[in-house]
Amino acid sequence: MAQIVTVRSANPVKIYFSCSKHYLFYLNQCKGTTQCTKLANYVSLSAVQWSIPNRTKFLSQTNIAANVHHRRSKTHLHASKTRNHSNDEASVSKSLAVLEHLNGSEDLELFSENGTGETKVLTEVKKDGRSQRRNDSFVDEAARLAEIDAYLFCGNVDGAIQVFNRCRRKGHKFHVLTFNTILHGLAAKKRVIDFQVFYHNMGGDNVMANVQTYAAVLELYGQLKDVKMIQDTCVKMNSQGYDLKHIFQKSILTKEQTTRVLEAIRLVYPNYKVEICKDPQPTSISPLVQSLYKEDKTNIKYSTNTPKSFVQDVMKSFEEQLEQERAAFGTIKSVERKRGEPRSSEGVCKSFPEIQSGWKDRLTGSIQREIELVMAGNKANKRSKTGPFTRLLVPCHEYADLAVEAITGPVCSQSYGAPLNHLCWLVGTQVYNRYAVKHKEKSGVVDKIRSMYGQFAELAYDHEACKTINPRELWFQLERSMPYEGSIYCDVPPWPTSVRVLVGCTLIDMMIRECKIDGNMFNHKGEKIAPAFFHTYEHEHTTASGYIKAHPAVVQLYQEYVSNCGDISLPASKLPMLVPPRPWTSITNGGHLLLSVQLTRGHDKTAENLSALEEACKASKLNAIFDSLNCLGLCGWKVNGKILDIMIDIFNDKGSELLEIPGPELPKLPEFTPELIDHPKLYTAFLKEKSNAKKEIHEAHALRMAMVYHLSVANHFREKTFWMPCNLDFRGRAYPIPPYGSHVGDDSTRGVLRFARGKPLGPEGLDWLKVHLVNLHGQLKKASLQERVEFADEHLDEIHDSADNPLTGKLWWQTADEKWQMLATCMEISNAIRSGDPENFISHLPVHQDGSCNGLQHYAALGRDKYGGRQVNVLPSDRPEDVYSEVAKLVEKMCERDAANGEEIAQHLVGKVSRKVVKQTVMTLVYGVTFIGGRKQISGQLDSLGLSPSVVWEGSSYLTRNVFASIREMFHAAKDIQDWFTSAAAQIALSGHFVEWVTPLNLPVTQSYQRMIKREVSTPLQLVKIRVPAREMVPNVVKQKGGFPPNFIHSLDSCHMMLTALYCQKHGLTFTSVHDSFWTHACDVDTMNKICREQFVSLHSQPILEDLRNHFLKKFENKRMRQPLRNSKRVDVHFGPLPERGSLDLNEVLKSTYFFS
Amino acid sequence: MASRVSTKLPTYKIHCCPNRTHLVEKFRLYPHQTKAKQRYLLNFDVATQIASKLDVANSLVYECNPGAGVLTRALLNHGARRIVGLEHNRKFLPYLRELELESHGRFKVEYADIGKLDVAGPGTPPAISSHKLLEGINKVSWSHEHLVAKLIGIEKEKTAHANFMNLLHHMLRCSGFFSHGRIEVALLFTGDRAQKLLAQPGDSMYNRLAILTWMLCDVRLLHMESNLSFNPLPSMGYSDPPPQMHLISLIPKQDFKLRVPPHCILLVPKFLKLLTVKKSQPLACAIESISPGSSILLRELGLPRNVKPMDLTPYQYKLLFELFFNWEDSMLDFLIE
Repeated sequence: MAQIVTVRSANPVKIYFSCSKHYLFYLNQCKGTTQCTKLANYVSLSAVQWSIPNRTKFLSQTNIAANVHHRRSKTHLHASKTRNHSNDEASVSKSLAVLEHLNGSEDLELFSENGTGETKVLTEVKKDGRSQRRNDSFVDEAARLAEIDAYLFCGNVDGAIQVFNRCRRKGHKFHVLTFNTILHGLAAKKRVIDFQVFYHNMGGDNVMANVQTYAAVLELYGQLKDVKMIQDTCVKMNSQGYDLKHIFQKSILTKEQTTRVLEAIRLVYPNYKVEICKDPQPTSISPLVQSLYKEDKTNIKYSTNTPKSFVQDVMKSFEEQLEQERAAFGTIKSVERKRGEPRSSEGVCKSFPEIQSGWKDRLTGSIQREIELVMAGNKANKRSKTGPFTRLLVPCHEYADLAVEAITGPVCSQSYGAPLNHLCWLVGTQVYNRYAVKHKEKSGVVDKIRSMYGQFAELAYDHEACKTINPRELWFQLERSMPYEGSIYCDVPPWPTSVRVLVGCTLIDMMIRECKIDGNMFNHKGEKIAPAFFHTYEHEHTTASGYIKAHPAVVQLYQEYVSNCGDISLPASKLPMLVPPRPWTSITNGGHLLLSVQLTRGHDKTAENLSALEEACKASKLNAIFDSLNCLGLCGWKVNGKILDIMIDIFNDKGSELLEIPGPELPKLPEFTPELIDHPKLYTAFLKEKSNAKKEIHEAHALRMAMVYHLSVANHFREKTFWMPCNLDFRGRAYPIPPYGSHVGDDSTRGVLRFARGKPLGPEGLDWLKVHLVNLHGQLKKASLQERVEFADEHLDEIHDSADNPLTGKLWWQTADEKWQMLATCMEISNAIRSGDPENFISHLPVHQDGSCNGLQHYAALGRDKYGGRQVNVLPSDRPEDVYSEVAKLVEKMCERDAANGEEIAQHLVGKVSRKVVKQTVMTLVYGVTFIGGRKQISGQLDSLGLSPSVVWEGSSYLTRNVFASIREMFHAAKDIQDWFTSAAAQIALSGHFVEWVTPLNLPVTQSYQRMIKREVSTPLQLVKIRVPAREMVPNVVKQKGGFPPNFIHSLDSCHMMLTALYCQKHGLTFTSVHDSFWTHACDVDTMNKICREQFVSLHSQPILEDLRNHFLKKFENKRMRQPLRNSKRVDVHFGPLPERGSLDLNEVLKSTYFFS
Repeated sequence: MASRVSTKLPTYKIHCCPNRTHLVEKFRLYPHQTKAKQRYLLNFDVATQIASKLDVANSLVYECNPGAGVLTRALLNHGARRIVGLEHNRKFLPYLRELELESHGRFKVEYADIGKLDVAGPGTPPAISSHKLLEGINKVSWSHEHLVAKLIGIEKEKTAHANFMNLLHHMLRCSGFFSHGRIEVALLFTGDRAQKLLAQPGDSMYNRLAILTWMLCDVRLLHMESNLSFNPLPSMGYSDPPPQMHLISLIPKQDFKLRVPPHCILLVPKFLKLLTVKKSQPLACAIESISPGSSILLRELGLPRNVKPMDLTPYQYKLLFELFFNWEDSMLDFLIE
């Protein structure tokens, strides 16, 4: 089995290395034999110093042939060769000289390319005037890394090295991590020569070896039992400052690799023991959280007296969760139940699951055949690209199951199919998840987590202990206490969109060929075998986009199946977890047990953001953020069974528009009659009706399916407690990862949820429940807290009635804004009062406290604006101030003034400007709505008031202008700050950089709005277009400048929320939130309110705007812009002074009752 | 009407605005608009030449985009009985109204856009319905020899492709503009569009456009004129030799009758689109992916197994349509939008 590792050099002497089992060397050179023999002598000399077994045998077998290939073709490298032709002699001797230098160094003696010389030539070589026709110099790094990893997983190291060399030839420089993975692969296969060549290449590329590299070296020599080399390596490690005792901590090794390295070390130091070193103290803890991290805990002693049975139960759920994540799909029974007979109940046809398993079997066979073809070297049908990934699909039947399950939902549930690029991406993502889990299983991660989790779970369930012990630090300690089991951080590089689409398309292609169905199933004709899925095109104007559609018989079968309590399979990442999630410890570790997650959501385009995040993580700056996410994740949830039953009944019956539950009936398509052809007018009207009806059908179907999924998931988790792992978006706002079962949803999804942990109401609890009830009702927005309690007391009868007879009584709960949550609260209050002892009634209901117009609150605090602050309840007052009605009043005044002056349009609008008309505009103004957007909103409102179209059109422009002017008058401080933000962002974007900043909790945020281009990925079915960022990363100025103010305010309010979460956890509260709405138990609302206001004051006591400005100055000052801003002539970036501060005293917030209420 | 033939027809001369600057002055067009959405003919001699090639004596002519009215006058001189001009640019309308008066009613101008013919939805001008255009014209059966009218003019460039396909679809269904009988379409096409129209099986430009055109009509190339006679000229000038505008006449075939069930006629364009979407895919695969099992139809037609969509002649396509839609086992679900 001969392998060729090609080595280039800059002179006409091309040296080929071929390493066979007996280490034969072939030297090729076409020049005169003098040089040849010189070189050959050198080789034999150097071979002496190599520590290879059977040295003599090797020498005798050394065969030196001489011919050089002057390949006068293709690459630019050759251009240099032809140029250097003249100084042949010099260059050959130069190469020899370099080799002798290598000889002299103490390093491992290898005959390799003269690395340094080559790299110099590579960089100097111009492209010879020939334009690269196929963009050869562009290397899609993420895709290549994925490919290398796929090769290494199958054990095919040569393939990996081929890809690696291909990229290097194009000039791409890899990171040391990639080198390390290949070195590990080579070490596992005990390929000494290649390892050494590769190691030298590293030096040639000026890549410094790090701890992991030395671990790989030790692994290799441990297997060869070469004590001397191990000792040499240890010495070198020490000289570079790496301590042998910390090797397991600092490097990421799988279990097998760890055992090998340990063996190696034990050969030299038989009594070697690992020393667990402390984390270095984080260099900069934000002053906001300093009090939390004051104590230095080296050894967390955590002991409880939880019974053994509890731990056993936990571990059982743990295994279930593991299984769910491993299988990558969870099966949920659908709650839909159709009334009436299904059409196909004559017993003729098979059921859908049988047919589906038939497909899975055929697909398995097809995958196996494909793998055999790939291994045989078949290059047809794009196998050269998809080959490495196809070989990952073992065991085949699991991946076949995956693919079929992933396709079934989107394609089979309706007749118009699903677009191909999205489907490919879906399937590819599922395959990636499965593969990542497999990789972790192989590296021993699963076993280690299993052994760690038991102890961690005891802490997770104990809220009192969480006050003093940090879950993240406990997890760290547990991990370090088991150093010989490999690291749990072994991970797979994430696949970019192009790879996912490619893999997905391969599987879909196989499925289209294999899956068959009886076409005449519902036709009462003979059996006709037809393909189950088709690849067709839909045209939008002139662009054709590929779609996958199912055979009509399949669609019918599936619809009947699902509507009769069939099984739905959902990807595991969309389901809640059965056990508390893993604590976040780094950017890619946390949340789900095995599935790979990211700290910040984003697609391919957020690459620079990731590097900034990684740096911050390494410097331990993100600890506060991890802790707050852990706090949110440790909040357990349960389903409110009664409400769920009511919802399911209504859902299966007829649905109810009032209660926002979609019914089973879909709107109908108008019928086509032949006489329509003769009447063109009627025909065109018919076409329009048909397209509107189609749109409505799509929407209704989507709503109905979404509701089916939500209800089915809730039904499945009815008896169990579940947890939601949390995640950030790029600005820092926290969201739960699974969409089903999360509290971030609309009213009907929130109505079924309640806390798993119950707490007695205590003296204040019942009053807070009543206030919560009135808030949900929505009628008394301007009432004081006392008035709200009184209102609830007045309606006690209705409350009891709604709780007892939800669907048959007076239906008072249906008059509320948020109906289902109202019903849940009614039930809770009713139970509390009827229990006779409200203070000790255990309540599970979350009580909300919402900030009134939170964005404007932050603006008011930033600018210390007194007038604006009063409007948004930053200053204390007896009654809540409503900013929307104030604005409406101002606008009304302006209207009256203009009407008095005789303006016609104002006269039409007098008396019509209500709070509702302006509410949405004011809300979105904080988030940067523009004139046109605002006008659209107001015209929608005026329309629903019933005015004539011409009045609506003119009136909306007039009103928008007035609203903007009055807001500017009221919140001039906010507007000034917003203007400063916008101009700063515009300048940064025009200078070609992305706007980035650091939040007060040390989270680096980058806005990556950039020009995206469509790239085509060629797949077996068709060319699939994907959107990727353009190579030059040009920022999209309009989006950057428009997006910066709202994004900054969002990152601030997420900081506020995270701080509140941390301090609440310290006090033992259950806390969760939906961005600016904070939830907790009824008895703790007072404490939470206090903490919330304290944190707000603490957050805004930091010099936020000054820090931002300094950060900008440091990074962007005086850069050149590509065009000056409007109204100015400067072409370099300059940040003006910050707007003036007002005189608001922040500490007034502590006394403001209606700040969050 | 008949008496007019004997009297000498007045000749209409141009007051001469052969230059772009005159156009700009006279009609106050935008001076810097070099890449116009529409080319205009300004040279009277060229117009006469073109008009002579078209056989307009005694016929009803619809002219799209008359512009400055140069071609209109030439057509009037050659004996067109009635001309209806459809002009979408409001700046030319006053001038054309003057021409209307001058011609004593032989020429009528409508503020209409041929691209918005029979558009669905509320039809405010310049959208126009063919009902209105064909008012007062007697219906003539399709197989009659006599052509009801002629559609002449310069193709509007912006939405040329979509407009033309719409015309062809209406021709296929004998509806819309063609609901009163056959109308000859003679337009001036730019070079690349003309190539597409005139392509034959085996050419690289042979595609859906050519297939439908040759299936439905008799195609004749009447005249070629260099682009230089048309305004506006691009600022950089043309390459050498300058591209040419082609005058192509399409006369719908008298004896064309597609024998498919009436509700399927609407599905024929989409069917053709799906068959020809991927050029390298064999026709058998394409037709299988629409309706499984229908590749036996290809065998009935006598076609080899791996025939490509671009190898079939339009006549063979016609036979294929008839076979497919009359076959009882065909699955039409993917064609119904």
